[in-house]
Amino acid sequence: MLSENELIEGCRKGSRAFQKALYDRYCKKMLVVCLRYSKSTAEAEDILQEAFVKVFQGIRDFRQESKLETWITRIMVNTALNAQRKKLYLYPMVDVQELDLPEEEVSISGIHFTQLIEMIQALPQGCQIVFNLFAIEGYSHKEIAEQLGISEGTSKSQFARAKSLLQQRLAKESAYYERYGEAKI
Amino acid sequence: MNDMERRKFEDTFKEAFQGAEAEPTENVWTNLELDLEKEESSRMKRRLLFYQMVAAASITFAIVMAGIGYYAITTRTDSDAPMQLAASADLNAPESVDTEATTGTKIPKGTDGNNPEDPSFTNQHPSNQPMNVDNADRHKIQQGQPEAQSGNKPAAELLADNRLNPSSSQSVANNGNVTSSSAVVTSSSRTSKSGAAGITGISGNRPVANVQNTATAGNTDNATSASVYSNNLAGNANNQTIANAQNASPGNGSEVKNRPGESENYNKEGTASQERYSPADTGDDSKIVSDKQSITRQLAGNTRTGNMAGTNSLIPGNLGASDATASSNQPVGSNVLMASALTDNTKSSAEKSITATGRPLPALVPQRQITLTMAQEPQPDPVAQMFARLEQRERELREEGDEKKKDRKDKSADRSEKLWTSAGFAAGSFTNVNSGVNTPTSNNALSSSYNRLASQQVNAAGTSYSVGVGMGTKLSDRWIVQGGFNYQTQMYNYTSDKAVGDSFSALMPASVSTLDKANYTADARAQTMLVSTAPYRVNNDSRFVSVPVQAGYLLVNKRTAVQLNAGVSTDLFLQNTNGSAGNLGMTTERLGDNTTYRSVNFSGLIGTELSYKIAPRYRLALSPGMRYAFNSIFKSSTGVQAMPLTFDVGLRFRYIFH
Repeated sequence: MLSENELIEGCRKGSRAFQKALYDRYCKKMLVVCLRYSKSTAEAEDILQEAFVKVFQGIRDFRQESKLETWITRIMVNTALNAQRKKLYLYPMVDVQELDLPEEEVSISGIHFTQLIEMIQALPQGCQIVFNLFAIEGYSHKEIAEQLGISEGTSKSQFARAKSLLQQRLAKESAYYERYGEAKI
Repeated sequence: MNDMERRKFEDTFKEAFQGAEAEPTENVWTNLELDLEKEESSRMKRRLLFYQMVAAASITFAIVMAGIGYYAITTRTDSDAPMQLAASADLNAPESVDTEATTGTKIPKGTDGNNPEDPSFTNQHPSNQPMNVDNADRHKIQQGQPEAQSGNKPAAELLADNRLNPSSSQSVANNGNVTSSSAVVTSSSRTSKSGAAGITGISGNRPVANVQNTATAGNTDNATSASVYSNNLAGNANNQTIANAQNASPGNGSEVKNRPGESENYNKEGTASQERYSPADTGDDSKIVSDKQSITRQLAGNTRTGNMAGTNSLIPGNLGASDATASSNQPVGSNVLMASALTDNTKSSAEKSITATGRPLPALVPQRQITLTMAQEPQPDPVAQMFARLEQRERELREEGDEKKKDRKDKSADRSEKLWTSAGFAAGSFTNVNSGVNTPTSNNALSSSYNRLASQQVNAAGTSYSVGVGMGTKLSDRWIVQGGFNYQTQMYNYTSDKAVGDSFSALMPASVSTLDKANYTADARAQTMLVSTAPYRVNNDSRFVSVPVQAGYLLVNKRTAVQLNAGVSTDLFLQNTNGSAGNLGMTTERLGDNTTYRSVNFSGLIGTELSYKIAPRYRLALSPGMRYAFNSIFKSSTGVQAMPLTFDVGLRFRYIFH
């Protein structure tokens, strides 16, 4: 198995075999990232493809200050955000009233990540992006606001809405699970 | 819900995605590869455009440099002509020369000069051809100069030597009162200042020259004119311009059809097909066995190796003694199938034990006749077909991949070109830049002639030819180094009006070499004859062996390559020959003689090389370049400096070793 450095060097030289090896190593994980930011698998694959082109173009400038996987993930997220920006322009994010949250914390343990992805994909565009950036990527609301060109308050309200919607969905799933003994999806 | 709980929700989401993987479709990589190919081709296009621009700039540069070189040479040649003419009028040997302009116009000048060395030498042609003007012609011309003749003062003064005192031409124009009897045809920029003065002279006085022009050319054509300078005995500083004689130029599965009630199963990998009979089916063993064999044959005929395992699953529910083995061979393709097989096996074992006792027992369940009807015409399994197609496609892709690899290897082989040798020739022209004569001024005729002739010689321009072989190697993808040996010849002509020798029978053309030797010591001076002659052309031929070493950078490294070269050359003097077409002898200096030439000289080289790979191991290259000598080719003791600047174009044939 090729080491990370060997992969990087091979890709820097433009070797197609090394590019394929790098793609094979990271494509599965990265597709999950893309799925979180898109509405369908086809859209996610488009983002994945575009992002990997950027990876291969930019790998010459990769200074290896971070892990290769982290760097690729960042490219995936940025590419996904670029792909969604047009939609965000059409449907700008606005402050939304926080919905009533269920009193009990809903557990997501036992739910397969594919179901979670479907739930995330079902969120409104703005909520989906903000939730991903805040809850999963770990950006602060300030950073999200700067990145998306929105106010910090908007980011917070969008996240609250996303969380609320997810919890409602999770609550329904839990109820269904308790009733029928297996997940609905 | 407190903050911790809120954070917990996000963390659980985050954790849920850690290590999550989803398989993208194959199309993603295919499209990605296409994108990368497109990107590479567009990058190549951009680079190609850049290289094309560089190549165009390089060619333009070469053409411009060649043009400048040509201009420099032609300008210098033009400017040599008047100097040669003027040079013939030595201060120590005043001569009267009748001249003829390059247009064929004869322009008279003073005639009464006496040349103690060569009394018969009376005229000089601008083209350096000796010419005699008879008295009739002179008379005819003089008749066309009524005003010149009408002057009260006879002027038969020799012109000043422009070479010796160019800044203050001694040529003084006639005014209406002065008789002009001396004229020199001059041209080029050297005369322009005087020319301006001459115009003034004309405006102020009825120019003698106009009359001369009328008499010779028939009109005063501005495009072709000649300046005539005359010396005014009265000391009037009026130049008279007649005209300037200068032209301003310019690319198997198996498919087993089952009857209703029979099931058709494919294992998970889809490589084996299995058939299972209903547990209630307990037909005749032999029939079943034969059926089984038939099925097995059928399957063997239609399925791949993996399918054979599937045939065993036929047996458990229906066959006798062999069932145990068969069931043990049951592939674990499907849990449901396994369960079914086990159930069948149990039932058939019970039946087997009943049959073993040999007692006829009533059947527990009514026996049914089982009729196995095999499909008459085996139909191809669509899954197997799909696999076959996939396999075929895989094979094609693999072959394509191999071809691509081969192409890449070929391409990389194209670019390798690690070591090569070359042979070729080059031709061009040269001129001496930073040339000059810096010898101590002496009053003797030999010294003054030496200065004048040396100046003419070093200012001459000529042609250069070279032929040679070379070797080259690549230091990296782009950088190369190459060297070789060249045999080089530089030829030029200059005009001399002196001959040097010990006696009249052994006169040699006057050159830097002969004059330097003659002027070397007082004894030599005393023994040497310096004879003035009609101007004649001296052919100089210098030969060198040069050893160039150049570094090159490949701007384009394809079948067509563009390369920039720069380096130095060590030039070893071989010989120099001075000869003329007349009766004079020929002087040759060779390496090892006490020559006036440096034995070793160094030159800087710069140029481009446009080459095309005509075959896997052969490349043809066109290489315009420039060579500039760092030192004078003459020894410093001669006081003569000549640093040739050569522009040439070479054609080289390159053989690539590997």
